[in-house]
Amino acid sequence: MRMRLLWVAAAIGLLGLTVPPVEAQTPDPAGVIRVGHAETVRSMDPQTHTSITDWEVHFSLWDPLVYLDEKGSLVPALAVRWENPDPTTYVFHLRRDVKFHDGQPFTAADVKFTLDRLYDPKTASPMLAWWPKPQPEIIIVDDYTLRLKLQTPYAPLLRSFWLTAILPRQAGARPDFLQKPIGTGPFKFVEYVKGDRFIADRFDGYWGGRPKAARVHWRIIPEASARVAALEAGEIDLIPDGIPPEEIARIKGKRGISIQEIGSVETRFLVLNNAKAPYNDKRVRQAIWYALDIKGIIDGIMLKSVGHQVAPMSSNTFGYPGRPLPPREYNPEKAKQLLREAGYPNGFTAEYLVYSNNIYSKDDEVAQAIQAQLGAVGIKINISMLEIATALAKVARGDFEISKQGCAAASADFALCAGIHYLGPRARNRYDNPKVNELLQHAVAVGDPNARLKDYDEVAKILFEDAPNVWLFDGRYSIGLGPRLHGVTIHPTRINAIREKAFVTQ
Amino acid sequence: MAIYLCRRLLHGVFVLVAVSVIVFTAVHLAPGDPALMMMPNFGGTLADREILANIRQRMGLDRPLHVQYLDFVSRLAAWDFGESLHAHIPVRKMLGERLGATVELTVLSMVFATVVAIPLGIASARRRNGAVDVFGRVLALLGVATPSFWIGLMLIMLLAVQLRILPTGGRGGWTSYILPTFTLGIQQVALITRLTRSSLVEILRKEYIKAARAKGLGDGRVIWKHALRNVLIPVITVVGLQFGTLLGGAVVTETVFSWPGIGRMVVEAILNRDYPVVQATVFVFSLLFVVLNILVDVCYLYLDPRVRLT
Repeated sequence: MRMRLLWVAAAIGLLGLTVPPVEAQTPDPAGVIRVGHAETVRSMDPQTHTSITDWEVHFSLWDPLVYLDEKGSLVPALAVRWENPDPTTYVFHLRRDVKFHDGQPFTAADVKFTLDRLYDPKTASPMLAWWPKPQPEIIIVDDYTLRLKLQTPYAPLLRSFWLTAILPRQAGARPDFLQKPIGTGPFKFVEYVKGDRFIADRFDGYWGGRPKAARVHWRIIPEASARVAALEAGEIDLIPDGIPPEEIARIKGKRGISIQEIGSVETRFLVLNNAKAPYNDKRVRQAIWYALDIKGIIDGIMLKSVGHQVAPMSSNTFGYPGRPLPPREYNPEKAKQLLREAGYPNGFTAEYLVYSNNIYSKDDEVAQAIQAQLGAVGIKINISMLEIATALAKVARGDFEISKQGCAAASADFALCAGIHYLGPRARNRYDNPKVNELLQHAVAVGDPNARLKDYDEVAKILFEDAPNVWLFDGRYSIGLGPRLHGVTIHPTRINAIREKAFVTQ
Repeated sequence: MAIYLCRRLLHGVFVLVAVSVIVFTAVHLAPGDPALMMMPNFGGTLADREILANIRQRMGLDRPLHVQYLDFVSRLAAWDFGESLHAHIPVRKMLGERLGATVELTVLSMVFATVVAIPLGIASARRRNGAVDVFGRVLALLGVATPSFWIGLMLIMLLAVQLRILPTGGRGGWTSYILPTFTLGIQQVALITRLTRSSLVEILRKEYIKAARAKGLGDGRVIWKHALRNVLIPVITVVGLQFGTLLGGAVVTETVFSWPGIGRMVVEAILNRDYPVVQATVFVFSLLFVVLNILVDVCYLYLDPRVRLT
């Protein structure tokens, strides 16, 4: 008898432990997921932006052919499978059970329409920066099979597809398409007010299963403290794009709020103008690097909200070395010695260009720390804080010396940032190393992922030695989740957070 | 009266033509390129010249400047400001959505400010160095000296996060208007209280007030009938000008309370070099300023018979 009582007590105890969480996680069928964003959703055209926030919102309305999962592997989406019979041919087999929000079936003709629109000069898509040129030949084999023929091999092609929403060929050609966009995604368009909100409702006919949330409401809350306050007050369920480092400890666990820290695809670094003296001297570039106590800046200013960058790409980007290099040591004496060898025993004066509008958090404090540390080895820094459009124009003209910048590889592939920052002679830092150029070009052309990784490994070693840029931070996102929100998987690219499985409880 | 108004209107038209030239020139001469702002990772690669050229062509920026100006002005005549370079939305629609929110907030906070400040100013002037006066002076000092973002954030922390009686921001039900209206209005309260008090103190020393008192009129009648009309002239001037300033200058309050107003829109547009949005906003603001100035002048006519229609 006593034994039975014990069993009953144990069972009740277990029930007591297990039942509430199960109840607590029952989706509210009429639930609205409320997201607070810093950045404005720039446009409803999925082909004329390069903004992570736009992708995040657009990917509730649209699907790509392939997904990149949170581990960085390519998995089926609108394409069930694909083949790569030779380095310049891709064959996609498409899902047969997909409908657009207006009820039209999805077929290979929609994919062709999407790519034709992307390559049309009238669309003027900035996304073409990561598509092969010229336009591949697109052959519709049948309604559910598509063949792509490239002129030269382009290894990151599937990752380019991951960033490309498939548009409907019928509705997409209508002039009011961008006012009433239609896609195949789990949510359908309701309202978009630029700078204020974007609202999408559940699409019952979604091919991946009926979405659990009834509605998603993205609100633009530009001020960081107000965004955190909205999460604390229970007005929003998710802050996907970063919480100020000093707020993290304060709100963690408060009122059921949890903070997820996720490695991102972004790196932040100092771009040195390699075409200008004294930065055209490797010893000077290395001296700048040795003079910086990067770990001190990460611990003291960034409050460990970022990692230490030890490769040209982030640790969540394809190309990251299996065995990364150790970070360069902080050694001001060596910096002074290198400056003496390079003919600058008394240092020099440099302009440090930084964006003023807080594109990257704590830019101003980091600038001051770098100013002090470089000052200690004789490099006098004048901080020039310019708003972004003016700063970009200066960098594009080559009229800069040192500039703090970042690169987010939205495709989670190093090819994009490599093209912008290291591939000569058109790299932003004006670095032009024939060996690096050859390796980077080979890495884009060769199909075998292992061969690509080998190329990027070697590039990383050369760039560490040559120091065309000074690597600072390996990006991380600090994401705030409210107690009602479940089923959200945040991705290193931050795209694709709210899908059919996301829901809020009552 | 009609001739006076016509003259003022013509003057206004001249101002607006000048504004259209200045804003167009300033926007196009400012360093920065809207096409570059659309490229991956702020600027893309230097190799993407062809893509940049396509974007500039789509935005119509490849045309000569005078052609772009004439296009801008001819559209203005039809009250058409073109499309946002980034969002593909007619600027008129964006202005409509945003201007309403800003005008609402500005009107409410000015109403709040005048309703609180004028009686407070009068009470302070009547009992100088009394309790109300000291309170009014402290309030005025705090209101002027405290930055609005700080007041806004403190109010959010207290009333929205701790007590949960008001929303943190956004523009929804009537409760969402309270905090932004108070935050924007409190500085105006400070200004208008000070102004009403000092004007009234000065006027109460005038001969005609003494004469009115000598006639045996009561205190209330002296103030309401004889002093207030004169006090209101500088107050209305300041309210009119502040109204115009707040329309464009409420950007801090709009940002703290994520209020979808025009100030935030234009700051974003400037940062992204969204030329049509910047041009249209500056133009519409100038138009509002001109209209408000004319209205203030018309108010003078009624308040002060000495202002002649010259």
